[in-house]
Amino acid sequence: MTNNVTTTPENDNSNEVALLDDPTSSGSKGYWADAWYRLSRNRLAVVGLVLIIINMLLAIFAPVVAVEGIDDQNTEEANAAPAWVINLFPILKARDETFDASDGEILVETGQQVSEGDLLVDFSVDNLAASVGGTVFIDDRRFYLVPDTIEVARFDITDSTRLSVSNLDDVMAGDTLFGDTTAPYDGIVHVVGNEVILQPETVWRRSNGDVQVENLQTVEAGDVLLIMEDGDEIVAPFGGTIFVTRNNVELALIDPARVDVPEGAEIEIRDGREVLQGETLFDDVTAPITGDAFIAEDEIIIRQTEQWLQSDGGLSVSDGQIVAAGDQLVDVSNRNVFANMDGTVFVEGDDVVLTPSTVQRYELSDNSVIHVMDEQVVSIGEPLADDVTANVQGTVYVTDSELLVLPTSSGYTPLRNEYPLGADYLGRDMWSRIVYGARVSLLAAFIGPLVSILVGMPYGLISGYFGGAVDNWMMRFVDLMYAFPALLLIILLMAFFRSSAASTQPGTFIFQMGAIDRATGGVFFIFLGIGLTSWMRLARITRGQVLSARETEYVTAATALGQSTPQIMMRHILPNILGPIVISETLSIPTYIRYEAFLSFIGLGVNAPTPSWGNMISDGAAVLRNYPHEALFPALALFIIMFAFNFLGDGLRDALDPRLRGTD
Amino acid sequence: MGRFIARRILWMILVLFVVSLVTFFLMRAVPGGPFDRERDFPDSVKENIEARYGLDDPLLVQYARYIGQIILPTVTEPGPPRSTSEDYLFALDLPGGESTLRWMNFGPSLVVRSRSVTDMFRENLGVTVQLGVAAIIVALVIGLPAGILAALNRNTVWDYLGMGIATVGVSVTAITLGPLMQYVFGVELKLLPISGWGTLSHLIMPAFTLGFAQAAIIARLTRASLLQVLNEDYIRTARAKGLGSRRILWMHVLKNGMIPVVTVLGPITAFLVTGSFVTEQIFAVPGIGRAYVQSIGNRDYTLIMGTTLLFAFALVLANTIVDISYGWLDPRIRYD
Repeated sequence: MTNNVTTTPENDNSNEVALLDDPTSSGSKGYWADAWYRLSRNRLAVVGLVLIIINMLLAIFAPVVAVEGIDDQNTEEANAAPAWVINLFPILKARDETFDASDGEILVETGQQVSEGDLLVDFSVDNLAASVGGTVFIDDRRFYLVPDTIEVARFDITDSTRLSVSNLDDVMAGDTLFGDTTAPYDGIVHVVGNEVILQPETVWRRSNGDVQVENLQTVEAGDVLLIMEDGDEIVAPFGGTIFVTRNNVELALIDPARVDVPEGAEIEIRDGREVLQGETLFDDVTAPITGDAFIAEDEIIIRQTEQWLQSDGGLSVSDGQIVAAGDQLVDVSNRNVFANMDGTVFVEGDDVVLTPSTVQRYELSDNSVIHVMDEQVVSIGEPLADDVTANVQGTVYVTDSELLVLPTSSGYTPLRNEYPLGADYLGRDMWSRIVYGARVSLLAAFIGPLVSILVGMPYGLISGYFGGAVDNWMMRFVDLMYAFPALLLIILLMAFFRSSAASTQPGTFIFQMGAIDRATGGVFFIFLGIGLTSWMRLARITRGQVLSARETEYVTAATALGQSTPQIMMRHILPNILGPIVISETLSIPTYIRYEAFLSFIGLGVNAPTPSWGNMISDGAAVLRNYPHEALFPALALFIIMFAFNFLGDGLRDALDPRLRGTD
Repeated sequence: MGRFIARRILWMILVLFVVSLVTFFLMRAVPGGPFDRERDFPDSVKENIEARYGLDDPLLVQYARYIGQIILPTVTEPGPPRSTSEDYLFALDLPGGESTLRWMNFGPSLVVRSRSVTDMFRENLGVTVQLGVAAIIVALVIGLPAGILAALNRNTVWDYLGMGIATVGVSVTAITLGPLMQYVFGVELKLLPISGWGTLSHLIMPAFTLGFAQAAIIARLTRASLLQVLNEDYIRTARAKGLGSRRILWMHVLKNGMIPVVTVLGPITAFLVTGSFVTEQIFAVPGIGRAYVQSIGNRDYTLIMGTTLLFAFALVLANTIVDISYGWLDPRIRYD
């Protein structure tokens, strides 16, 4: 066995000289790669980074994410909040909801407690099912059911077929529909997709001719119904039952229901009137179906309805569709009303009122003395019944067993609406404004350090590198600026920039800056002000770092090699002192964000209507008593971004300079 | 030591002078004036008003007059000030009762006509100081124990809990915490008045809003500083001597560990100043911060100058006290 010493590229590094300013040469990992590794191991910093990235994505894609614009006012929805927000803040009591229950069946009674999701009004009683199988025809006002005992004429057509008729035309038997196809019977043309369907004619006006049939007579196809003035005969296209009304001769294609009437039965209905299913006809016999009832000699004939007026929506069939018996023709259960919150129900005629408020109740006994009338408005202290007085202002409802007081709904309670976080006092979507507000805060987070680095770093570099009297004077100036109250100076600088930009001639540099400021909604000058007042900290740190870096061997070596001052600064000193600068600026980001929010809060920041979390909180704080969500949502957004940057800053500091871990 | 203090005081005066100079000229460079908001006067009326307040003089003259009124003491007849233009902050009745020595006249407010800036200081400064002191107490009472607890129980649940809350603390700003507290304690629980000033209960929420972030800073700093001290050789020596752990904690750790905490007094004062603008706005506290914000909008020149100087004075005073006390607390630091 020979001691075979081979050096692999991995363990050969010990021979190389690690160059501090060249991360790739130091073998394993560079300074920044190493820092990134440590940062990615710090869970809190990663959380912070993720939050920041989410915020950045929201800010960048704000026009996509935000449904409404920043200034889309909808004053009808002012201060509105969705249900989950109302549930979140107890003060945001939902206001009473009133549902229209006309045409529906009210399933609740006054005083009943319901929970969210309970069915209050059932409209499905208006649902209509096909009594027999057949074909549905729909025109602009009505829809018809033609039973499948009738062979409805259907013709396939193609896109190139040239029709001689158009939709809803009346045709006579023998009229040409298209090509050499003719109508087999009198009817109305329905063109549906690539089919022509012929709805049989079943109604003829009496006035045009001489009626040849009697009411309730059963006819066969081909029987003469009418003889017109000009001698033409109208024959029944199909077999059916004839109903002669005041104006028309009608052919019912669906067989009517027939109920035999025994002799001596006392008929309780009137001829020609509608009866409802289950209604007593005579003795204990009830109507099997709903329809117009006709009394014949020994029977009652109930005509099945074959046509209905179209009401608003709910039609669940299409023109020409073939249905089976029992299929839904009209389904209005989508109009069913469900409780959208927990509360108490009051029925007022056709309206159902659902209130989330606490309702005063008093149980009536048989000998209770009631002092008020139903639906009387009472105020607090008014006597209700026996010795009970009203403890809320509201309307009294007296039921059989109880007396209830529905409190007057307070006028300022919010509506429910589709905005995810509700709307502000002008009815602007809070979510959209928060998303757009992220742009301002994130700009503060990036432009603040940028201006600060652009001014502070060269300042510190120069001061530290040259030292001596230059350093002394430059640092004295920093000390002086440091003593300035930063926010005061920002406010003054901003006011100064803004008004001077407004009063200069177009074309000048200042005017251009003013234009940028106006275009960014007043954001630009804030950041300029923030940057110009916060570079001192960075200048000091840079100077301190330069002072120690200047004494290192590699700088001495570079000087000995005859490199110029700018070269030494940029190529040797700067890369080595970047770490502390990055740490310092990252840790300052929350301060920049805070300054911007503060300025906007006190009304000296971004211009309306540009949203900033600061001015949103300010607007919301004005109505905090009634609508806390308007201040607390932007406040939460501000907290999250500050939190994220603080975590990232701490993590970055630990990663770049582990010696500082756990300090401040 | 004496020379150091004297130099610091001179430096303070220089800073205040520069602050006043910059503020004055920056403020006057901003177009618009205190009388622009009123309905349009004839130009002659406006000229008269400006002449009345000396606003028609050259800027340098105005500046010199303003500074002169503040720093030059004058001797006048005793009694209350004759007009808002002659309202001095300090008055000392000279022996004999014939005359009074007066000092520091900040001039009349240009917008609130019947009041002088000195009036506003007298009324509003006390409020801001009360709020500031209460906030510092909140910060110390929460921050110090939290930091000490975290340091002594390093890497335990106490440490993580304390530092977690501290990170929350530095992340909540006054405008986050203020409305939240108003909602929880004022609107829902109805424990404290939502806004206003006057009773002790009015003080609690603003003081907490202002002090919480600083409590977080103090807690972090205390922890870091104590951890450093705990690693020092003299602590090991004390342990080796057989001193009780309680004695080590009080005599050695805390005494030395508190030194860096003193340094945050400067930043805290800055924090209080900027925080007071918004906190007073949120809770409708009639303090200097609110007056300052209003004065900026109104272009109330004298009030802007007065409040800016006041805040700058508070800042440099705090920094100077920190500088001086630092050397006194830590004898290793030499003044030179």
